[in-house]
Amino acid sequence: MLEIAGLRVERGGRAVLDGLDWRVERGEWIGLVGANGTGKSTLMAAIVGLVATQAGRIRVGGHDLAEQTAAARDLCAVAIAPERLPDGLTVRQLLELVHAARGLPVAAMAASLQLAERLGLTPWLDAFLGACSLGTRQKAGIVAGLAPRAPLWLLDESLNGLDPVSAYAFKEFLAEQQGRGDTAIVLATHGIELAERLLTRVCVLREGRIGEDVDRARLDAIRADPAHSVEAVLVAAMRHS
Amino acid sequence: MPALPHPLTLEERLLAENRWRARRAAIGESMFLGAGHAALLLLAVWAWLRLDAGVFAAMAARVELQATSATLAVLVATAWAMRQRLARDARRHARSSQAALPIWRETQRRRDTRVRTRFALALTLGAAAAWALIALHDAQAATRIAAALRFALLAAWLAIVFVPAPPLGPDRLDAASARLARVPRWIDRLAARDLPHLPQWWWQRAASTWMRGRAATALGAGLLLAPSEAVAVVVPLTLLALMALVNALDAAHRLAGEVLRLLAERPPGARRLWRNLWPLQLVLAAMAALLVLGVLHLLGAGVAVLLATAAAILLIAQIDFLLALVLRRRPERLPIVRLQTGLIAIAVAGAFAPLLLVGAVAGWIWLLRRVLREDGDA
Repeated sequence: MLEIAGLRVERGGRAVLDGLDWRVERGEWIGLVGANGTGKSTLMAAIVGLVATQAGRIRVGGHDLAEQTAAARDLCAVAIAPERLPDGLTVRQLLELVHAARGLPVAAMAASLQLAERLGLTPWLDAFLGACSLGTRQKAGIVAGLAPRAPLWLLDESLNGLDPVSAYAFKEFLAEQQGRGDTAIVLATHGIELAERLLTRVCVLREGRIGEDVDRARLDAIRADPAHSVEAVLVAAMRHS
Repeated sequence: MPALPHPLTLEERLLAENRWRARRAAIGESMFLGAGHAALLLLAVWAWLRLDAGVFAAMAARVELQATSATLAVLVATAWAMRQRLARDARRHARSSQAALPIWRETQRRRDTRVRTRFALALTLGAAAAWALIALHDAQAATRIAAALRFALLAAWLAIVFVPAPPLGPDRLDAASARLARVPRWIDRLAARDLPHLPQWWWQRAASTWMRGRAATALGAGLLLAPSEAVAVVVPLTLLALMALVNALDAAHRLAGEVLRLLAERPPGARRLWRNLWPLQLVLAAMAALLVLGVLHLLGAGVAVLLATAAAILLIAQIDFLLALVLRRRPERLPIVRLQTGLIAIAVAGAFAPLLLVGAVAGWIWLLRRVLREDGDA
């Protein structure tokens, strides 16, 4: 679904990502973890062409991002960061905007409203985004961003600000989606406790590249061993830098 | 792929609908705003009509002499302004909530056409309004100017239609953002200790706002004036710089409300904001005053007029700044209060002008005391 080869991204004269190679397949729910400033958000932005890259190639569903940007982006669903949401629109208008701009069928709106209901967003549908709390804006960004149900989902710290009930509902929703096998989910997060139960693969960003790639088999092995915890393994991998 | 609407176009439409709904919900206020702006417009036209009509015949003669260079200048300025607008639209999209959406070629083409059409419309309406204002004084001079500049208008339209969009990859957008993020070093010297980055942020946001504003596109209008004598060059350029500064000041004042959101965890009180921002605000206002004084001096104004104008500019800027701080939790009220204050000032000036100075100073003191009283953080 996603192939990255030799990616280099510089921010402010410093190489944030340097020679990064990565593959993501459908049916995976990947946790992208790493210390602050290791480039998780930069990588997420680079996958949809929102930051300039100095070297390397990104392909989404076989489309080269540099050559076929629209086609590559069409295969991505990106949760919108709360700070980017337009204050002057209501949550419902934001959903209408995304649906119209992506030309989604009418049924997709029902699916979005269903997700809104699961996340407890329904009472806020007609509230202006500028008047919503951080958590509500986060939910609105998730529901709007995932409206297309594209095969590659990119979620950058999307659990931040969610109340425990909504966070649980969202994790359950992601697990269901992963179980269907037709979607690849990438979640950049500091919540490595997710790896104990839900994630199917965890990638640790370190020194500008994927420093540790814990696949499903290794995750299952650690989970099965009562003497170890996934969290401890990942923390050790991050400390390694 | 079907031609889907551009997300920015959709967003603009929805925001306009919401504004219209809000205006209808507050019908009394909307009528007041409409009547207030109409009154200000009438006053401006009245002041315009008091100008010496002889100027326009001379201007027509000058424009006729310089028609070719004016056409060339308009062509270059419009092409540059059009490219700036397209680049600005791309930057706006890159910063928007919909930045990651796929934008198909046809969708982008339609968006560009919309931006070009709006610019052409604004330019044509502006030219028509300028022509009408001159015709109110001297219909013959207006006709001569229009005839001399018909090719300039045609050149502007051609530039708007045919100038290619600038390359808009993320590398270009990153570079443009970095340029806007640059802050002059002297700003740091104006910073207080408790919120040292606030003046920098204020400058960055104000600068990017005026770049989006009227000053940049007014360059073409400025170049229309033939550079046959020093005043004809210096005055329009100084006025453009003044427009830019006024835009920056206006943007900076209106940002008082945004600081609260920026520092949401511990929003600063009005006094703290004032303490951190007044030096930069004063510098910007003083620069605007200096520019105005320069223009007035070139036009032969006396020392008394210069001093009075400088004091008036500084006082008005201070009052506006303090109003923005007082209304920082309801920034949407600022334009209304500005209009109310302006209308009252005009009414007072019409009745008994010296009272205006007393009223303005009293208002400034009252606002300052109110701001300084708000000791704790909000």
